[in-house]
Formats: sequence, C-alpha cells, structure tokens
Amino acid sequence: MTSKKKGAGISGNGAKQNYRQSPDYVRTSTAAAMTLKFYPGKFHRGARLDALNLLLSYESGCYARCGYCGLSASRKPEEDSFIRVDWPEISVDEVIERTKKHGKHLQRVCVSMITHPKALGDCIKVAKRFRDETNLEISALIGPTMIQGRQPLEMLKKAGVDHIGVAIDAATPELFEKFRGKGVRGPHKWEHYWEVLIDAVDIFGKDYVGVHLIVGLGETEKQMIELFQQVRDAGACTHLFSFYPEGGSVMEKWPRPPMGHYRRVQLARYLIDGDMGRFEKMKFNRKGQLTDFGVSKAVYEKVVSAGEAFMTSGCPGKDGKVACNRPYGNERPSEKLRNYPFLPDSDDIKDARAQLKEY
Amino acid sequence: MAVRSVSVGKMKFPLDRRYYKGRGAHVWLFADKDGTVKLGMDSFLTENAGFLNYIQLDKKSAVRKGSSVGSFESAKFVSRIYSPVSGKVVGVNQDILKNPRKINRDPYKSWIISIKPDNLKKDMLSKDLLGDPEAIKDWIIEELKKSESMTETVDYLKKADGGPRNRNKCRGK
Repeated sequence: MTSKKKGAGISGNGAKQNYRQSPDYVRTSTAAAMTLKFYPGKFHRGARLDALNLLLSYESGCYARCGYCGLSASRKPEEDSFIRVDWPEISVDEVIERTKKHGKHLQRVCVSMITHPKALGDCIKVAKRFRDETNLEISALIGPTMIQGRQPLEMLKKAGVDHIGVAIDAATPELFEKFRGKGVRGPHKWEHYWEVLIDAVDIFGKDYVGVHLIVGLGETEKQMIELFQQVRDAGACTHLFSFYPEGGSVMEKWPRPPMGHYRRVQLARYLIDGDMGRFEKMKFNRKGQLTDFGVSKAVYEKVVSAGEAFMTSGCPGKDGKVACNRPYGNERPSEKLRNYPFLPDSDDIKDARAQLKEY
Repeated sequence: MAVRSVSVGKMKFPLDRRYYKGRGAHVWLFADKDGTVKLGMDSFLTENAGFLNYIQLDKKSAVRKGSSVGSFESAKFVSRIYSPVSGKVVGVNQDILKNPRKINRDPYKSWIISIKPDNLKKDMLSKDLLGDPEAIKDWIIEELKKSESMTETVDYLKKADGGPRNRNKCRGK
C-alpha cells in the first residue's frame, strides 16, 4: 500500500490508476502503519505510538506551497515523503478495523486537513467515523485557510473532535509570509490563522487548542519563545517540531537547527505551557539566544531532572499525558533525539543538560 | 534446482545456509566454494526492522565472531549487524549499501559483506549457528512469541506448521 506519486496516479508502466481519495482513504504515518501492522517493523528503544496520525489525501494534492513541506504543490513530484517518512494510503474502513484489532493501547486519532476545497467536509466525515466506530479521542489538525467563520469549528466539535491543531509553523509574520504566503505564492495569511486560533479556543476551550511550530525556519530563540507566550496567553498550547529538510522542497538544502537552540526553546516551551515561567522574565543575548530561563535554580533543576520537558509535545490521551508522541518523527533513530517519545532516561537527561549549554 | 527451505508463517529460511542467533543477530551465513562466506539478514530480522533506509558498515578489515560489522536502519529502528565468524573482510556489496530496500524484497539474494574466515570449520560447530530445519523453526517461533512487531503476528503463529509443535498455547498479541 504505497502512497501515490503526487498529481499523477500513474503506475510505473504508464497505465493510469484510479486515485484513492478522502474521505474513503487517508494517508497514515509510517508509525501508524507499523502500529496497525500494515507495515513491518518495530520502534527503536521500545517506543510506542499512542495516537494515530491520519492525513486527508487527494489526487490534486495540497493547494498550498509552503517552502518546507513535503506536501507542497511546489515540490518535485518524484519526492513523496512528509515529515521524513512515507505516508501510505489506506482505506478508512481498514484503518478502523485494524485499530480495533491492534490498537487497544491507542488513545487518540488526529485527522489532518490539507489545503483543498474538500478537506473540511472530509475531515468532518472521517472524524464522525472514528467517533461512531472507535473509542479514540479525536483531534483535527485544521487548515485555517479553508475555514471561514465559526461554523466549521462548531461542526468539527459536533463530529466528535475535542482538540484542534493549528499549524502556524513559523514564529513570526515575516517568516510566515516568506515560507507560506506571498514568498512562495502560497495562499496562507498570518492574521487569518490567528483569527481561527482565537475562535477555536473560544469554541473548544482553554488548553484544547495546540499550535504547531517548527523550530529552525530562520527565527531566533527569542522570537519563538515570545510566540509561545502569545499563544499561551491566548489560551492555547504549543506543539514543537524541529525543521527537517524534505528532499525536493524549496528548503531541501537548509540546515537543521542546532541542538542547543532546539533544547533551549523546548525547555522554555515547557515552562511557559506549564505556567511555570514567562517570556518577560527570560533573558537573551544579542543573537537572540536564551541565556536565562527566568525561573529559580530549584525549578530549573526539578524540571530538567524530570526529563518530561524533552518529550514530544502533543495532544493528550484520556489519562492527560501526551498521546501524540510521534516516535522518531524529527530525526533518524540513530541520531540524538530532539523529541523523546518516552520518558528520557538518565543518559538522555545528561545529554540534554549538556545540549542546553551549547551555543 | 530449487533450494529447500523451512517456513514459519510467511517467512522462509533457505536451508543452503546457516543462521546466526548469537546476540539476537538473525544474520545468515552462506559458504562460498572459494572458502569465503557471505552474510546477510534473515526474513525475521527484515520484518522486525521494517523497510530499510540505511546499511552502514564499520571501517574494519578484520572482524571477530560476535562483533559488529555495521548497522542497519529503517525509519523507526536501528541496530547492529553481528558477524558469526572471525576473519578478514574481503568484499562489500555496494549495490545493497546504495539500495538497502532490496534486502526487504529478497533478504536471501542480498548479501551485505563477504568474509574470509580464520577457521570456518570451528565456527560452523558453534551452537549459535543453526542449520537444522527443526532447530531453525523452533528458534523463530520462540522469537515470534517475544516479538510484537510482526505484521499480523497472531496469523503467523496460527499458520505455523502443524504436528506436535503446533502452537495451541500461543498467545500472539
């Protein structure tokens, strides 16, 4: 069950294939495909996926052109990964059947829209299916550009969605415009994303909206952390990703953010989202690098030693702990982890401590 | 002439080679007529590893039995490749290094490294190097019971060959 090449639906011998589209079909992450036993393989260090990530899929693909994204309309068609891995196309019927068979430990499913006219309606249809046929909590990662007014959000809530993801991705309006808006001839607007975010918090509640942000698109640590505070003050949470250059994308030759940069931003996010710290109390050097977290030594030590700050941030499960843990979503399993999908052990925490001091 | 093999579910283990179980290796060893041996990954290992993205070999000219010769990596898993013999490295399959997914397509045609053993006769006597079909089957079934990662693991166990070893007591997850 391999994903179709973008925009073609053409098999290797030139024969046209019927494209299998949403709402009947979705693309699953490699981790979800492995968890549901569509793909072989196991997770390094005994990691386990606790939330299924599903992506709506259309022959015409995503209409946006975000510079870093594997789904971008500007990406070379022979490249087909998204966030580093394959996303095989599978029928929703089969996903639900296998969820019941192999996914007893699963806590949540996330249905991601792409920028496509059918995406909102299909997101609602797929969410309803999971609501009616499984006991998973349901998140929707929405494409705000396809959402006008409050009604779509209310419809998602009625369909069983209890958490909303808003992928703002970029830390500043300038970077947003550069990589998602006019800079790439893309349709997205920073102001509209924020309008939808505020509506989502109003409809779904405080702490029920997660903003996706990607570290390493050219922002300083200060800029990213300031945005964390703005999001928190608006009643939402932040979910962090580390930029990974997708082959064939506009940014395929961009470097990944340095580990020290990522770790500091990650810890700051944890403090702010947990209401243990605030941006205004943090200190930065001239390069915009974080030099003081603005909390007492005791708080700093407690948080770092616990290790939870270095885990993947995402939507929670029924137990309140992070379910969307995206194992090895940001790096190869042979590399140092940026987001731990499990509680880091003492060696991992030792590494993280050292990384926090890398400038 | 077709090579005989032993099957466990959908996995096959050709009997023209040995299987190294030391260190959980799941490496096969094929003895060439020129006295060298070729090493590769068995189908249990490729199922566990998932679709391979990288094979990397250590820069060594000599290896010891049980030591690592390199690593394999998929999107979500990484581990080492262990040698069942001591000897000199005499060849590397560059095509496989560039196209590791060929191992998933056919693990037994895809050798990774070739070694000239110091003492193959002695190494072949090791209890960790299996050639007997029943011993291979028993080992793989035990590994399956421990592993949660197989595609349709329960089906594999149910489809295991019948007879006294039919796993009525198996509890696949």
